[in-house]
Amino acid sequence: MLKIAKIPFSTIKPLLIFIIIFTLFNSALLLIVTPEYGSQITGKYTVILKLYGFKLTAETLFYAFTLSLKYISLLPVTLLFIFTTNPSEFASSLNRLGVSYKIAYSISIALRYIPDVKDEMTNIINAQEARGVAFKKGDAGLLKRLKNYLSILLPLLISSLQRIEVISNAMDLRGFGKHKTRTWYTRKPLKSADYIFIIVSISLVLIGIYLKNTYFTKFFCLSLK
Amino acid sequence: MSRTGSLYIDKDTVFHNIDGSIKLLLWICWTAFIFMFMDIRIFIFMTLIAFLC
Amino acid sequence: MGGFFSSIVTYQGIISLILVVLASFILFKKGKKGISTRDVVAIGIGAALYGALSYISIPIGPNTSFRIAVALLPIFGAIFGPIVGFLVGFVGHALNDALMNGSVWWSWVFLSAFMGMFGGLVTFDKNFDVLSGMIQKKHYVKMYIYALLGMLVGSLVAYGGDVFLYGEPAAKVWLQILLANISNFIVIAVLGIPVVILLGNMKGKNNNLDLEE
Repeated sequence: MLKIAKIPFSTIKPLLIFIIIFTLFNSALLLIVTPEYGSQITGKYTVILKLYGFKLTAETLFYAFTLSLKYISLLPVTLLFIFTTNPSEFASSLNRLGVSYKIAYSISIALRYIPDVKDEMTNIINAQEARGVAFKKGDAGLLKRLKNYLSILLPLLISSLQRIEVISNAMDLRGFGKHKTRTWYTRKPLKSADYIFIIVSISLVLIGIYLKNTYFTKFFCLSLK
Repeated sequence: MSRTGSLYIDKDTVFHNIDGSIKLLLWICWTAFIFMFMDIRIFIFMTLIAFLC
Repeated sequence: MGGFFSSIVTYQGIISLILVVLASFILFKKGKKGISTRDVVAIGIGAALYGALSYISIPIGPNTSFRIAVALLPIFGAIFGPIVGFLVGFVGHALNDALMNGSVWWSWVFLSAFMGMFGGLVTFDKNFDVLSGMIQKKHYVKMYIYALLGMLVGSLVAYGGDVFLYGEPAAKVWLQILLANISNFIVIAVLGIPVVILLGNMKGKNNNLDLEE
C-alpha cells in the first residue's frame, strides 16, 4: 500500500528506525522480566540460556519476536493515513465518522498550532538559558533541573491562556458552535473507490473474526527442538 | 515534521484521492484485525502487503 | 496454577472495565451542557502544547524518563475541567504519537487521558477557580489525591489494553506501569500542581474587587 501511495522510503525511514529500536528495547525488557512467558503459554521448555536462577527459553524469544512484528504491522496503515491525508481534510473525516465537529475542530486547532507553540517554547528556553538556568545534564542535579522547567512552563502557559482567549473570542464572533452540524470546505461526496475501501475494511474485520475462531485461535509457535 | 505540523506529501494516487474518513475507517479496521491475533504468520503477511504492494 | 492465573487476569480486566464505565459516567454527568467554544480551543491548544513539550524529556534510566508534557494534564484539568483534561490527554498523546512515531500506543493514550480527567475533578468544588484566584490550602491536598486516583484508573486501563490487545506479559506491563507512574507523579508533584497553585495565587494578588453579599 505504501508503494501504491508513492511514499518515498526516505521519509518513512526515521519512523521505521524508531519503531525497530522501540521493539528491541521492549523485547529486551520482556526477556529480562519474564524469561519463561512463552513457555508458560505453549507448555514447551527449550532452554537456550541458563544463568544462576535465570532461564531464557526459545519460546519466549519467539514470543518477543512475534510481539515486535505485531507492533511493526500496525505502523504502515498509520503512515498511510498521515502521509496521504491533507491536514485540512482531517477534521471533516473525523466528523464523517461520527466524532462531534467541535472535537474534530479542536484537533484541527492542535495541528495548526503545534509549530507556533513549539517556536514559542524554543524562544523561552533560549531566553532562560541565556539567564543561566540549567537544563542540560551535568549543569545541576536531576531534581533541580526538573524544577527549572517551571521557568519555561509558567510563561508558556500564561501566553497559551491568552492565545486561547483570543482564538475563542474570534471563533465566537464568527458564530462557531451555534448549530448542531456544520459544513466543511474540503468535504467531497463519496466515489466508487471509497465504497470499495469501505467494503475492504469491513470484510477485513469479518475475516479476522472468522480466522480467530477457526485457524489462528492462539499464540503460534514453531517447534523449536 | 514540516512547518505546517503535518507530514502530508502532495501526490496523485488512489490513496490520496479516497476520502480521509475512509482511510480512517481502514486504519481502525486494520488495527482491530491486528489486535485480534498473536500469530507471526498473519503479522508477516500483513506487513508485507502494507509495505510492498 | 494456569486456572488461578487466568482468573486473576479476568478479575483485573473486569475491574478495569467497571472503572472505565464509572469514570465516563462521572464525565458525562457533568458534561451534559456540551462543550463551549473556549473548551474547544483549550483542547486544541492544550494538545499542541502537549505535542511541543513532548520534545523535552529528561532520561533517568533505561526506558524511563521525566516527560514534562505530563505536567500539562492536571493544569488543563484544573483550569478547564475534566472533559477538557481528558481530551487534552487523549488528543495530545494520540496526535503526538502518530506524528512523531508513526504508530499510536492506545493503552498509554488512555493513561494520559485519565490523568487529565481526574485532574479536572477538583473543579467540581464550588469555591475553586484557578483563573479568578479562588484556590485554598485544602485544594492542594485534593489535587494530589485526584492525581493519584487518575494514575490508578489510567494504569488499570493501560494494563488492560497492553495485556488484552497487544498481548504483553502481565508482569512486564506492571513493571513498566510502575516506573511510568513514579516518574509521572514526580513530574506532576514538582511541576504540574505547583504551576496550578502559582497561577491561582498570581491572579489573586491582582484582584482588588470584593464580592458583595
